[in-house]
Amino acid sequence: MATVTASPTATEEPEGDQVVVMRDIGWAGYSAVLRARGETSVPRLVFLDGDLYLMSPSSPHEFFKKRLGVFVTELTVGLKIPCIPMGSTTFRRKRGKGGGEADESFYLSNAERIRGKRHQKLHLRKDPPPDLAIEVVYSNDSEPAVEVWRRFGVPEVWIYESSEIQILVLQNDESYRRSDTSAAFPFLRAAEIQEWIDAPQQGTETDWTIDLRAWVAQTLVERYRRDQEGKA
Amino acid sequence: MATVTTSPTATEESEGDQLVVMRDIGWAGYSAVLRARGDRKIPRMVYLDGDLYLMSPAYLHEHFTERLGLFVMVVVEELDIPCIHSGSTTFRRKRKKGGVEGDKSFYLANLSRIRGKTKLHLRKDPPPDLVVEAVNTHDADASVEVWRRFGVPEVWVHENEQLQILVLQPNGSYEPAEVSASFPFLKAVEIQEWINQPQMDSETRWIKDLRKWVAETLVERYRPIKASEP
Repeated sequence: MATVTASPTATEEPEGDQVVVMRDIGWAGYSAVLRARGETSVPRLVFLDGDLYLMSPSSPHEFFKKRLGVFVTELTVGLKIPCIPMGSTTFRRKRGKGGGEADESFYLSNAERIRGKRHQKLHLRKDPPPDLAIEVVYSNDSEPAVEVWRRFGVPEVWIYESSEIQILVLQNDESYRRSDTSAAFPFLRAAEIQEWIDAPQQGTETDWTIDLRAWVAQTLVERYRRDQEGKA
Repeated sequence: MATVTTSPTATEESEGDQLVVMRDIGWAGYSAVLRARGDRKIPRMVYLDGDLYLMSPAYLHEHFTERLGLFVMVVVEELDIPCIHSGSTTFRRKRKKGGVEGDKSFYLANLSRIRGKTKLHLRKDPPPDLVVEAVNTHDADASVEVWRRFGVPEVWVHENEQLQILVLQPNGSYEPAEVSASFPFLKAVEIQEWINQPQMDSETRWIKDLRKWVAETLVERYRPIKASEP
């Protein structure tokens, strides 16, 4: 009979994201888990009202997260819109009983207010929250994360789930409402983002990025210019 | 357009067990996460060589876990074999770089050494004699390795409707066995058949049938073994 080899690394990768919840661990428990995780970015942590959600992203999750990040970066570079990408920075606030790490986050209209703070920690007590947070959803749900962004007053959240982009825009009554166009990029429709993100892989992501860059230059630059003129 | 309602409690239960790994968090990190979990049993945690595995069991996992636990308890009860059920107690030892919570664990041969104790310390107390692990969507490799380091003599792993009995060898590795070491009158295939039985109207019936089988079949097999014991 063969000897049983026990190798913890042999665990097969499961299909979707994996989520484990630690109930009622409180702010101190959340802080302890954050410290234990150290410098690594996995598992991603969302804290809401005492409960901590730990998430391990699957590879499709990471693929779409990257595409969405590149999409926003190409857009802001192509249109020369000031932007500071913050990736999956941890934003947390004890008073808001929340903490979150988006798949991607960006400062846009508030970029000026955090410029030069690259080497400093951001504190939501005095610094603004990001202007746009992006959440990719794969087999788990994004509701705790969205609630955290709502409490922090993040003006816009994009949720990518089952090949669908949902744009949520913060209302005056502090709730999110689904919108067909972006608030940060009013010349951009949710359907267009969706088409780009869902575009099948032809060649590599290099080709995809080149095509996207051309579309921004050919289509969006003109739209953005008219948009700006209309405002003037 | 409808307002988006956000309710964190609406999270649907997923079908499989959920497993999240924290890599390289070390013993101090493991201890901090254990403290943060407090008195709760979920997530279940396994620590091995710096990595922490956090697991949330799904219904199927719990179903098989309970059956395995009941199976052992019915056998020891009907055969009057002394047993202390240590459930999913956290066993951990810094020197062995391991910590684990079995689905169910039992003291049998070593029972007298822990009788009356309210807390167990692996530095001076023995590990459980038998551990059962139900595998649903993630393997039990990390747990089995920790049990091996602690010197647990026997582990049952139920996976894909198969029950494997692992028995610790003198060289410190586990080998699959067809017969239990703790219950030498019991074959792996027999345990497997009982655990896999389809659910009838309820588990009550399953327990009653099991008890009858133990009384009618195992008692007879156990008699000569018991008689030969001092």
